[in-house]
Amino acid sequence: METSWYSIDKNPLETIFRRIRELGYRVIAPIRLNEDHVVLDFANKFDEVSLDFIRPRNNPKSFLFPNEDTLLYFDYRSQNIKSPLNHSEKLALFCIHPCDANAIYVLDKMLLDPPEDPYYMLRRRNLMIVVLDCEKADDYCFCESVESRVPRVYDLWIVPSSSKYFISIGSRLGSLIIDHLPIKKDRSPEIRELNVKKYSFDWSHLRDLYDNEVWRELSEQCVLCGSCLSSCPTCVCFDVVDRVSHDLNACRRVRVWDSCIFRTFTMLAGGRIVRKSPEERFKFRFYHKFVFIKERYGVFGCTGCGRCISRCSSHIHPLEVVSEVLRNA
Amino acid sequence: MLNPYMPRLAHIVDVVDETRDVKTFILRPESAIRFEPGQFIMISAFGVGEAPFAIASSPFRPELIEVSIRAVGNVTRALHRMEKGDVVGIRGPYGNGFPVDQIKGHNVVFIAGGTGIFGISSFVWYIFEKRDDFSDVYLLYGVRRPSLMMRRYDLEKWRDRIEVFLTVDVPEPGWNGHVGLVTDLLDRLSLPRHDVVFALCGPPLMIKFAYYKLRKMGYGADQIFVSLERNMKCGIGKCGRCMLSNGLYVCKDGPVFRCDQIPERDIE
Ligand SMILES: Cc1cc2nc3c(=O)[nH]c(=O)nc-3n(C[C@H](O)[C@H](O)[C@H](O)COP(=O)(O)OP(=O)(O)OC[C@H]3O[C@@H](n4cnc5c(N)ncnc54)[C@H](O)[C@@H]3O)c2cc1C
Ligand code: SF4
Ligand code: SF4
Ligand code: FES
Repeated sequence: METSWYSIDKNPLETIFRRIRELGYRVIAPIRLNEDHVVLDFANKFDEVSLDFIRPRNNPKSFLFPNEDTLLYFDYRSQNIKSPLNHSEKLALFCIHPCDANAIYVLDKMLLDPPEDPYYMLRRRNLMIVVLDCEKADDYCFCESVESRVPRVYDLWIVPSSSKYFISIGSRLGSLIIDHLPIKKDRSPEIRELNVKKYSFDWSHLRDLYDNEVWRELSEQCVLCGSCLSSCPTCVCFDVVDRVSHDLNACRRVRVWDSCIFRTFTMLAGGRIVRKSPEERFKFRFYHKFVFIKERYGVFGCTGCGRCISRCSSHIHPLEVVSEVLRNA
Repeated sequence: MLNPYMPRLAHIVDVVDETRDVKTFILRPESAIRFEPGQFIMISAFGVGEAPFAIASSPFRPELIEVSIRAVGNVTRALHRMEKGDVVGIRGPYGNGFPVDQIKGHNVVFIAGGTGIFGISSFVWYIFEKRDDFSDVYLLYGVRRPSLMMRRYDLEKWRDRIEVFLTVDVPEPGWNGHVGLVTDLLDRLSLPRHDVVFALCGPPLMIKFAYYKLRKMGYGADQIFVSLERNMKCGIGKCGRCMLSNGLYVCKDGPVFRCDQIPERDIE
């Protein structure tokens, strides 16, 4: 994307918020739940929005790829299969951080790769993305080490600086949002360095270390609870389950978030489990995110958002794990 | 809009008992399913779930397809309760199938164990119909007991055009064929070293055993094809369940792999 920059002196966020609603979008924004937690949720008024946050507890996946999403209905009497696809609600993610915009980019790569996932695609097609750049980070953030500091997909990217607000327009929708604002062309802003610690690896060795013994030792800190994966904005592995209605006349097929760290994920008829040991289940996540997704789609499957670390009882840091492993190269 | 998760309906035209826990279903889809040898479909028993099954019938008869199903869990048991006239959902075909054009002109040796016969049947049927496109063709098929031999009617037919060798682990009265592992049959053939490809499908141990035996006999991993079974929920490379330890999807990049293209640890 060719990035051209504009700026405005006065804080434009409230005007943008109102304009998005005028355009017929429901706004999803960071909202403070309590002292510790901010979540992404529907906001009707700008003063519900909280901009002082590092990472919301949930992430865009909850809206684009919701848990328990209905795939189809089947009616036993008419023997009719019905599709629930009629979605056209316009949703706007307002003031998400660059890493979460990049998570959407990763989801696009995985779910829109042919054959397209139509449930995701319909929501994605009607999604507006307004990114607010980060002013601070914490020990868990590592976007800069996984090529994720700069958002790859957005309609607007707003970068506050000490004297003004820089704005990059990523789409025609983006220019429509700010067509009433007195913006002027400007130089590109300085992109703040944020992360406390930077990692730089020769990632190419990781693939060959799959059978390395260090994985067993590393996996011992993990209780295989799955919190890391359910909180991750790019984890979209799923199970499919049929639910029969109470009157037994119909069923609903839903997809349920699942994760590669659970025993049942690779279980086969007869009870055989392909990835059985804690070690195999622990390491698969790293291979999927840092090797397989990267090879197939040219982007890391991890955005460095730090959610997994914040949820983990052992605070397992993906790149600390990777550096331990690469030490054996 | 094209929705790959949406099954079409198929009528059960007939149900044939194979063994104690295996039945063959003959299905007439709403519209013909054109497929490549080795591909599979997802079958729904609505209200219970969906599972992957190899198409076991000939690719030259797409309007009437056969699947043989072993009752092992929820979906397969629900399907076993169905009868002629009932309706199931099907979607597909999925997967890559056997690379027929690459294999053409070669000698082909199929090695199948138990229900693994279903995974190669459509390819055997293909060869049966296009017999002149291939050199010598052998099918080595092993089951636990003679009474567990599946798709006997196919085996009998195939004998007309290919060499079929059967074996059992445990004989029963009336069995005067070979007793022993399916891989033992390899020692009884005098196979050419070159221009031969192997196609394996069966339980994990059989696959592993056959693969290492063939390697020991001097065949290259690039001469051995394997059709793998993994947990599958989508069939289209989205749910992540079938992924091998090198990132390939069994549903989309497989289920048939040439053994030099996957790690040895996944050949099972
Ligand atoms: C490409 C391909 C082709 C195939 N072709 C054929 C074929 O032609 N014929 C055939 O018979 N089979 C075939 N299979 C295998 C078939 O798909 C499985 O037997 C089927 O999916 C089993 O589904 P089920 O619902 O009956 O079993 P499930 O009820 O899903 O159970 C399967 C097993 O997994 C265990 N399990 C599953 N989920 C859980 C859980 N949450 N907790 C605990 N245990 C669990 C169960 O204990 C059970 O042993 C094929 C598989 C693949 C991948
Ligand atoms: S949150 Fe931590 S303990 Fe739980 S599965 Fe993930 S890495 Fe393991
Ligand atoms: S693996 Fe952890 S840091 Fe990376 S995107 Fe997922 S939750 Fe964020
Ligand atoms: S079956 Fe879902 S990814 Fe292969």
